[in-house]
Amino acid sequence: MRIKAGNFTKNEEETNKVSAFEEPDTQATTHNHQSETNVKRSVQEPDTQATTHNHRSGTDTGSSLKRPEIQTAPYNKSESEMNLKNSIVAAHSAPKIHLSRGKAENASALEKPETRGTILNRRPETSTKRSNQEIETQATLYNHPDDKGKFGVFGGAYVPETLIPALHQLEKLYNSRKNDTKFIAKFDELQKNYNCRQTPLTYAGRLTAHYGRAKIYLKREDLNHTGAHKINNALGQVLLAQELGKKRIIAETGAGQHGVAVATVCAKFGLNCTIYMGETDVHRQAPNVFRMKLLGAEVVPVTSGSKTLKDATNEAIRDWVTNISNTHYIIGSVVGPHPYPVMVRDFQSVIGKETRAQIMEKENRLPDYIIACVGGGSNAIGMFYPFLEGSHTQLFGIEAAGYGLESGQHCASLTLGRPGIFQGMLSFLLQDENGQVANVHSISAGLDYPGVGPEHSFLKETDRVEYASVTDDEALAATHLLARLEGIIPALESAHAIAFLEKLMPKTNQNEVVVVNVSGRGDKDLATIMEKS
Amino acid sequence: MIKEQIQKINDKGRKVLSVFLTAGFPEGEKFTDTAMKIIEAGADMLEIGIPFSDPLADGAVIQRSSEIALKQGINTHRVLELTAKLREKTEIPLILMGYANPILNYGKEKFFEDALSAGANGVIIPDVPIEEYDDFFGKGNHSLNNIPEKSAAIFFETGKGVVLDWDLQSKQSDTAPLVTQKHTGVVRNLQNKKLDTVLLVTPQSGSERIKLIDEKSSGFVYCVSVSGTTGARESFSESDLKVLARTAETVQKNKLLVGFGISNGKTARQVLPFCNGVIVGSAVIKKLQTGGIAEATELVKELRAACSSPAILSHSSIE
Repeated sequence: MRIKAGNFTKNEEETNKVSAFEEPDTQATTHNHQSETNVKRSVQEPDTQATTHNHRSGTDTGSSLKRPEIQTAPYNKSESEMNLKNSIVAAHSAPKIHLSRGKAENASALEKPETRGTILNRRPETSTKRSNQEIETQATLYNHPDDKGKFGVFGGAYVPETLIPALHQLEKLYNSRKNDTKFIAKFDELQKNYNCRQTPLTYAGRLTAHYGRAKIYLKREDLNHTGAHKINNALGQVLLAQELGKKRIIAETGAGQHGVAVATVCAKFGLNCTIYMGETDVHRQAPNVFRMKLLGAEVVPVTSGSKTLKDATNEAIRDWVTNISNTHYIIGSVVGPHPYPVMVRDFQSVIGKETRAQIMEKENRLPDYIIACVGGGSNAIGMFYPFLEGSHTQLFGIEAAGYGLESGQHCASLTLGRPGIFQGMLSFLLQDENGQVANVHSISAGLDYPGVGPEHSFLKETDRVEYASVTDDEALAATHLLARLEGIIPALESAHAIAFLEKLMPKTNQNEVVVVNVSGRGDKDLATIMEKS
Repeated sequence: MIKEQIQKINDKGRKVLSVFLTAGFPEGEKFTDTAMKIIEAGADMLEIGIPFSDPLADGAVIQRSSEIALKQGINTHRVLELTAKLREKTEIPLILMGYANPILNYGKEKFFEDALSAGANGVIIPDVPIEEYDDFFGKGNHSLNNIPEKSAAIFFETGKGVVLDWDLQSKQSDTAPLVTQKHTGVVRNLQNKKLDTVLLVTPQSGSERIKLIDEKSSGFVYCVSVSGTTGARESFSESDLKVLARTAETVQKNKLLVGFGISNGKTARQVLPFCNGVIVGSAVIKKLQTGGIAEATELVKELRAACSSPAILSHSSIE
């Protein structure tokens, strides 16, 4: 069923009503619904199945920068999906598939459930062809941004002239490398043997039992080398920096995870590294400051403004303007001027590509819901991107509500902000009535940012992703819950995504599947968690 | 008007001195008094900074002055009021310099109209490079015609993006409003009433880019002396000056004023042979912060003297 993020006061009765309305013709066979849906989907997921197969044999780590082969969701729309609210994106991209054929296939599969695997492996060629044809003729590709880096009206490159030639150079290089097999092979090799990709998709059995609704899977980005998804992007960009001949790397960091990732790749590649970090964050993420120093980076505490991520970013940009000729700036999120939002997204999209293949392997279907936290939005975009073209999976981006949305002390840019130009991009922004950037708050340093990546603004405006928020306290509670039930201590950032389960799960049913992106691990947050517990 | 003024001063055998002041700094309403004293001390033009919370192109001194101004409640509206007050007292070119977001918030169209009626002669927006120029200033707004998002379209039409506005409108209307006409209106206004749009070139801009910027710019071209943020520098290197000479040769249509890093008579004299004048900001603001108006006017006098020094006039790049 389609769940509206902003509308969680709905009572149970209302929910039931909605689902009853959505599935008028399946009332009689409700008990068959799950297996039916599963089979149907599995039969019609040819490309993804192939990927899964390859993945098993180790030839596809899912991390190539190319567009995923799974551009559309080549599954048959199930009864429940047929009534999904059509977002603007989905309206153009959702494949309209012949239901009758799908049903016939289901029926036969249902009769012999034990042969399901066999059917999959020996799928007749015609079936594959038909699906491919549908992809070509009926799906509109999600093809953003345009060549100026605009996602609709969002994005662009609103920066001082000094940076423009460097941005053009970076864009040109990136465009020539993103489909270059040598570059991709290099990146994949690093991801596999230096980082530890692919990361697992863990079934969270006790958490699932706790809610007693949809099955919950966790994408384990916390298991990356350096402890968060940030290294996916750092590895990609350091390869580009090498090709640009830049010997000095700068970066901003909030929680310190991006700073650590950049310091790490700089150590590995022998590059000079300077990390800008807000003074407030230097204190609350002390272990990461030490890690960066241990890795040979210089950490510069930033004392201007709110002394957090936004100010660290300002200082990094000022450094870049000054040292543009020998320095590459590794932005850590899908923010800033073009080409950063698209480039970082592509490097991070390995998360979603792997998830897609993994969930097909485990459940033979796509997830019904995906949840990820959103600060700048890189782990969320990385997770969402390979799912954008279909309409099956409902995507939720969770912002930090800090002390509560009504308190004014939060980071819910998409929920309560409005478009503005900030740090090189046109995107949703928390700002006062004069366009001055607001001072924001989150317990999580990584989400403590007044802006958000322009693609998220676009996905909000087109209704493809729903954005909600959870408070500091809710995130802390979720940290404890996941630690006790699953033995996983999430980063406070990721805990925001976990916390959203409280709101989402009561609306789900046991036939559905939820994936939560655990973008990082909580080791860095122990001091904060202890203090608040 | 700006271009003619620069020409007039150059014709008298002198280079132009333009001074940047953050509006409302150091003390809100006394800004016009401060500005008048700076003008009396020898400033030929005044750049009035609209304070912004996150001034990316600025160094520590202007950042700090912006913070102080914001704390005193200075906003775009107040800046325009101060400009209008100043216009009653002086004839010299007044140029508004501000980051894109406060202007976007005020409403781009309204801002340009109000700036004109306040008596401003030009506008400089350092974070709108030529790639974004057309969208921001309203020419060739092809990308705006394809807006799929209702609220964003309304946002661009009104230039406000006030939450209330677009919530109401998006509920009432299913079709995105067209934005083309209004934007064309802005452009026409700009051209008829001569609110110049001054663009920047930097040492990073290649000659093709410089030509393009020269083409799009009006009033003058703002030449950033070195890669970096605003702020005083001890001196310029030979290579800085070489790049400057190249830029001076490339800029044909417009007058060229050099800014960033000019801290005193000496640094001014280094760059003046290559341009029609200099822009000084941080150095004057720093004096206002530390030594008050007396020291600030002393510095302005020193700079003015540099602009009149015969040594700088003999260079071949002077037209």
